[in-house]
Amino acid sequence: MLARTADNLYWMSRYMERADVILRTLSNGFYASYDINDYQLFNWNSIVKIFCYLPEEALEAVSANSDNVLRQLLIHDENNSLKELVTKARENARGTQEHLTKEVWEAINETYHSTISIDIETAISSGEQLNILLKQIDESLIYYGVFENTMPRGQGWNFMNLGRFIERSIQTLNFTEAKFLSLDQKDPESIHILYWKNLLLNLSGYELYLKTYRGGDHSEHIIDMIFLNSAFPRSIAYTLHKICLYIQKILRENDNHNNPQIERKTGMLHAKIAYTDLEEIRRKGVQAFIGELKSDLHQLSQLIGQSFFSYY
Amino acid sequence: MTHWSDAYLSEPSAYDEMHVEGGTVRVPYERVNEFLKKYTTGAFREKEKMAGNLFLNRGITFTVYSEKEGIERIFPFDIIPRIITASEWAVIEAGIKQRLKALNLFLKDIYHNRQILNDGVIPAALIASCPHYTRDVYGIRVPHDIYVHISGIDLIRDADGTFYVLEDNLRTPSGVSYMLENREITKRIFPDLIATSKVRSISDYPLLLHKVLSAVAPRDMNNPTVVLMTPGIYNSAYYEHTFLAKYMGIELVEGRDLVVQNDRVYMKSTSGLKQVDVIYRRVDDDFLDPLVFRPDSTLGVAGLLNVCRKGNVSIVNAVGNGVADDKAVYRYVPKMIEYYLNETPILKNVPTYSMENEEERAHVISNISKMVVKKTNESGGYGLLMGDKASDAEIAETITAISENPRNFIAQPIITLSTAPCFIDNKLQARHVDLRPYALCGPGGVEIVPGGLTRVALREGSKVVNSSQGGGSKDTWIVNDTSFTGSI
Repeated sequence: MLARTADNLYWMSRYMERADVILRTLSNGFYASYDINDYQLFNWNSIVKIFCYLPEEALEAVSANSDNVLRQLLIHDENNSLKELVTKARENARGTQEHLTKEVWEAINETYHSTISIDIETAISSGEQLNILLKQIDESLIYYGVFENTMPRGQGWNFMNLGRFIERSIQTLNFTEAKFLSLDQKDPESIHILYWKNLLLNLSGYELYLKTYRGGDHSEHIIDMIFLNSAFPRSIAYTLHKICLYIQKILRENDNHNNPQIERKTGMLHAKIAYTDLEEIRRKGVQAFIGELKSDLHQLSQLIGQSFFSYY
Repeated sequence: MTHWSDAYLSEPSAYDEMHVEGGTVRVPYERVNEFLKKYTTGAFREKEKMAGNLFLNRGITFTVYSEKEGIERIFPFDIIPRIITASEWAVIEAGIKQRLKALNLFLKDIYHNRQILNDGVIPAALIASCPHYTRDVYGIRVPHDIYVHISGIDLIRDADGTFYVLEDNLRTPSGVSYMLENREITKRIFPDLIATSKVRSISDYPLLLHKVLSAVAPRDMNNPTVVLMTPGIYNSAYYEHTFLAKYMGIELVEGRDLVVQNDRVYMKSTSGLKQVDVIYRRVDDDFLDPLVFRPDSTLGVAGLLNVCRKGNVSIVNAVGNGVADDKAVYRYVPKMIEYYLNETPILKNVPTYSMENEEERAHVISNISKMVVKKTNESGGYGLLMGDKASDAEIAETITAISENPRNFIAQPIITLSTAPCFIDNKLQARHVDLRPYALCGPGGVEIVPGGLTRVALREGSKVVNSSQGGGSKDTWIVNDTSFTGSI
């Protein structure tokens, strides 16, 4: 496979994954912002911060109003908005159309057209914000369904999945980090599940959480769920497993002088989750552990870029 | 009550594809005419809208450079098919085959022995002054002596319905994906009409193309590595490049994906360098190799031409073909056919006046309102003066330009292109059309899929069909003469 093609597919997939997370987060945020309660202390600030860089004042101004958050994260021309992500994903897809199935290309193309034609002001004035988000989420689901059902399990598939799961694990770490940051020093055991609910919803894990964990210390359960629960498709255990799987496939198909180094790096990263437990994570501290994983992922993706995508 | 389609008015001076004078419907169009009657304008408009959405969602768009807003547009598509009968097609097919045979021989001759110049059939000065004559490929042998693998020869019909060759496109003709997609869209919007019309299939074009490309590989091997080289996503024909690469199952590369080492071309893959045998390039000669042509080109590959000279890669179409589709050389094509093949041309040329010949130039200038003046080295409808439509100032400007550099221009009498019925503004209206069939030339001979791209000048009265000048297209059906009996 052409190095440029692999690069395009990898990034296209990362952008689509990020776009999906933005949509999910926004729709959950909308629901949550209608609920006033003592535990949740919902604010847009920490969410907006995850997706875009804004100066402090602008951040406050945007976060103060749900509709402004939509304007910023959905239709802004740049700064990692949905519109920018989908546009970039499509640009990448266009550059490698012959490696995508017709169905995948059409799904991305349609997502692009429906995204750029979002009429946010009309939606806001008629109270249709959630419907817009749900419609876009449907598009995203169609993309994943078509991707899963039509793409041949070849090199393109491997690079796309690698991008998808690297992005996903980074997003999981970002959300978790934000939530733990705003956790003040009160006794963790006294914190209500509602504090964590939104994090779990954003990661589509609320239902699984309720089914798996009963009673006890929520923050402990959350750590288990997010890092170690391999049944949870957005957990670090799950996404790292997938990352390793696709990297191994890619290494098998491409003879590259960096292969041993990539293999080692991947193995070490995988071991960090596979051979740890709750106790050890707590001892290290959640923030520190997240920082370590993020830096490892960053290094790994850089190495992959140098090895497989360098074509200039 | 009269039906909306009854209000069709064709231009009296032009050959109308559907109506004979007086409004009688020609036999091949009877079925279409009957079919139109089943629809109200509203229902027909819905079909049109559906076609537009299909194009957009499939990403079948092109780019117009002179427009600021957005870079992507749908190529306007008129949903009423254009019909050509099998007997008409037989003439076109034989004519194009003959023409391509002669043009290939001409290119081989011009880059080797130059017999045709020595024999005085074509003035040597005309070739020497042709901007696309490429000295750098002189003496390079190409596999099977094929230069024009892929061509799109533009045909028009005069007032009496005779087909003429308007232009030979022998470099990187585009539009074939529209020919194929138009058919797919028609199948979606008018399945019942197409099902009963027995239209000849065109769908194997990408496979035929792949066969031709593989056959001209320089190495004797079973599965040569064939790639399609595109200037990139900002090229107006980018959709077509992805379409063809996809349906041939080959890599779509850009110049930056290729590299020359040890007199060979390689593509940069995820597992290192991989040798390339055949490049179907959609990049113009000028940009192909910065070491030989434009040094500022970033679209090409440095050293590519040298690899070609060494015989380690085939470039399709061959470099230097522009000398054969130069608008001033065009008028000599009938002579080439006589010279190389000793045959009478099957398809006629449009009479063409040389601006270097004083008598002809004087004739053109005194009859300029009946002439179309073209720049010899431009295509896509750029640099065109229609004498009947141009302002006095534009005419004066062109005449000055001609006298400054006569070699740059040719003139032709304005031909009243034939018209075909189009659905425009909820009415059935006559618009001028041409026809570009796509011919493939491999070691086994010339193959032409039965069809082509009908281009439509959508503006009323306009005779410029180029997409860059607001033209659209139609699905083009080749239908057996025997299948015109019976009703829908």
